[in-house]
Amino acid sequence: MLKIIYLLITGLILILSIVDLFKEKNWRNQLTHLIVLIPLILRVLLIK
Amino acid sequence: MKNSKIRAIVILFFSVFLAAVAGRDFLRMRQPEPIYPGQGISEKKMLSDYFSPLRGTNGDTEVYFFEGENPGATVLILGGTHPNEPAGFITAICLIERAQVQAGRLIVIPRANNSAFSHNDPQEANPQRFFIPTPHGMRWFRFGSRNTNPIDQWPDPEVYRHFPSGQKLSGGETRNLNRSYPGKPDGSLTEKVAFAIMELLRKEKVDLAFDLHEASLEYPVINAIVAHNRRRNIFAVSPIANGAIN
Repeated sequence: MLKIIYLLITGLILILSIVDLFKEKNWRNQLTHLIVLIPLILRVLLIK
Repeated sequence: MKNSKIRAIVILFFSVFLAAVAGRDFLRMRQPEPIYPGQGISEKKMLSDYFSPLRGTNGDTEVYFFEGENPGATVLILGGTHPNEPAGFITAICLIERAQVQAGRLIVIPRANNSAFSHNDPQEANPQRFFIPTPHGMRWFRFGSRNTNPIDQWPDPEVYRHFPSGQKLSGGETRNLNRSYPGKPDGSLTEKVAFAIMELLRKEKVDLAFDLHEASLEYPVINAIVAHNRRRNIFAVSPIANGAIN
């Protein structure tokens, strides 16, 4: 059960990060989303 | 405005691409290294045969049996309790591929914590695999982690309370098989693996069990032997103890 809650939180943060990426205007700030998105994608897919 | 949206799409695709490249490497850790059972093997089972809830999980692992022609004691050898200590794992594999039992029974579990083989520890600079040249070509083995993969057991508690002693340990130790005995049938995956190994000990009437370890890479220990007080006399004459002392 805890694992499902954890996955839901991770998925929510991933969605919020993607929304933020599309709202951001500054290209440098957009680029920093990369280091947030990669581990989140890997964790949501239960790879790492 | 439009440019930032296009950039966002490009960055998103690039994130997915980099995640796929990294993910490919991480998934490679789940591929088990080949073991070539020798002629001495009489039977191969799975740990889940002793505790069915493990079936289909990453905690299930292979158990090899050797039956001697003459009656004798039953010995269990555990390798891979800590997959970042490869000597124990390699020793178990050498036994599976070479052992010839004349009397009694030998049971070998090469990957006691199978889940811990499927990842390694961040910030340790450990390789995912190491290689050993043999007369039949190069062989590869995984260099795993001390603890169960968090993909299989998560999250860790702040404080791990060992069952049944109640001893308090750091939260990460909840995924350490060597801190989980005797295990719990309704516990975490690691506790279930420990419980299944205890079930095997009971059902197969094991007389003597060895859990093979090694010092971690940066941990300067040459020999450390742990044996139960009541069995020190047996351990003192064992080949492992004598080899360690000499």
